[in-house]
Amino acid sequence: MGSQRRDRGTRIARWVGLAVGLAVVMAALHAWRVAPAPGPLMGADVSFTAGPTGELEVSPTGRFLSGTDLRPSGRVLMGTLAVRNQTGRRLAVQLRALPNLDDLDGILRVEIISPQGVLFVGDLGTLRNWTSPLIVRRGQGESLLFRAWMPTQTPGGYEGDDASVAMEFLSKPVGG
Amino acid sequence: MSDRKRKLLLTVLVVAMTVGVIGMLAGVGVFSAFSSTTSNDGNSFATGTVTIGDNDAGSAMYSVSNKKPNDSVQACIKLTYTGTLAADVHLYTTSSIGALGQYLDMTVEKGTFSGAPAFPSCTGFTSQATVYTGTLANFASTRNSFANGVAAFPASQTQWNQNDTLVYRFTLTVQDNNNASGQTTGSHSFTWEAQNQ
Repeated sequence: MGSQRRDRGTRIARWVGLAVGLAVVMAALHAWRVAPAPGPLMGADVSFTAGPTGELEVSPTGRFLSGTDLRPSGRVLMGTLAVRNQTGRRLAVQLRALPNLDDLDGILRVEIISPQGVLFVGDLGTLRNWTSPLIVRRGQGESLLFRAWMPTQTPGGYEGDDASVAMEFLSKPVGG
Repeated sequence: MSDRKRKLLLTVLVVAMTVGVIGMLAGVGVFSAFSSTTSNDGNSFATGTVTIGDNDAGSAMYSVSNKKPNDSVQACIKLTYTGTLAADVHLYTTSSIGALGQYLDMTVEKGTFSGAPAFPSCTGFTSQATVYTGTLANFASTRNSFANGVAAFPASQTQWNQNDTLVYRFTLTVQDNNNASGQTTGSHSFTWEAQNQ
């Protein structure tokens, strides 16, 4: 009877020891854990570029809109691009975007405004298609205002992106 | 404290210390093992482009009729290179030229515009060099492929780079030769071909 009680007590003592030992190990491992770096997530870097074509002169050549650490804050990036028809005919000019990545396709909103009206408003993915045509008379130029932003309700998916958006032109002679 | 209680306490301590020491050794082993890695990330492969365009928008540089001896036509065309690779650009024609070609003197100059005239105006043209002089017929017979085409580069460059432009001025003059009367060149084209270096 006394021996049975002793065995039971020893068994309980072993289990208690095991539990205490495990608790000590857990506490130690938790203390040694490397905490994640504090601070907010990174925003996206965005730039728009354009180059001349045979029919169109553009100014500036290269980057005309850029911003770093863009977030869904309502902050709007703006840039102006001047295009000039250097042909002898009136041209219908359309634009489309060729982004280097597709992360921002459904996130980045873009608006392109000309003196003739709004050429495009929508997300970057939609701007992969040709915009409405802009009519540019022979030898004349038009100034295009570009605006880009992330709406405040934007979910994640943009963090740390470095997006370079090349604008491509399609020019077709119209009328005389 | 009775012997029994001391014994139990000792058991607890021995087990706890055994588990703790083994666990910590394992933990320390995990966290402190010597380790080294190296990586080679972000590999990709992409090709460049060779793209050239002009400002004619499908219109001819010249299309004239009823000209007389010593009449001239002058027209300018602006070439823009938008490819990403450095390139050579050669001018040639693969067209057949009619009988008037041998009586039509042609000069081709390369240069720049100081202003921004619309095609095919040469207003504001500044010549950098003459790249061809001869008859149109001679041009067609000697400059009919990239290999023998007229090479020209912007300014003093030795290659075309992205967004380079160059204006070519064509001057064609009817020779004072009675055999030129009533002749035509027929429709012909000029080709600028870019090839990467």
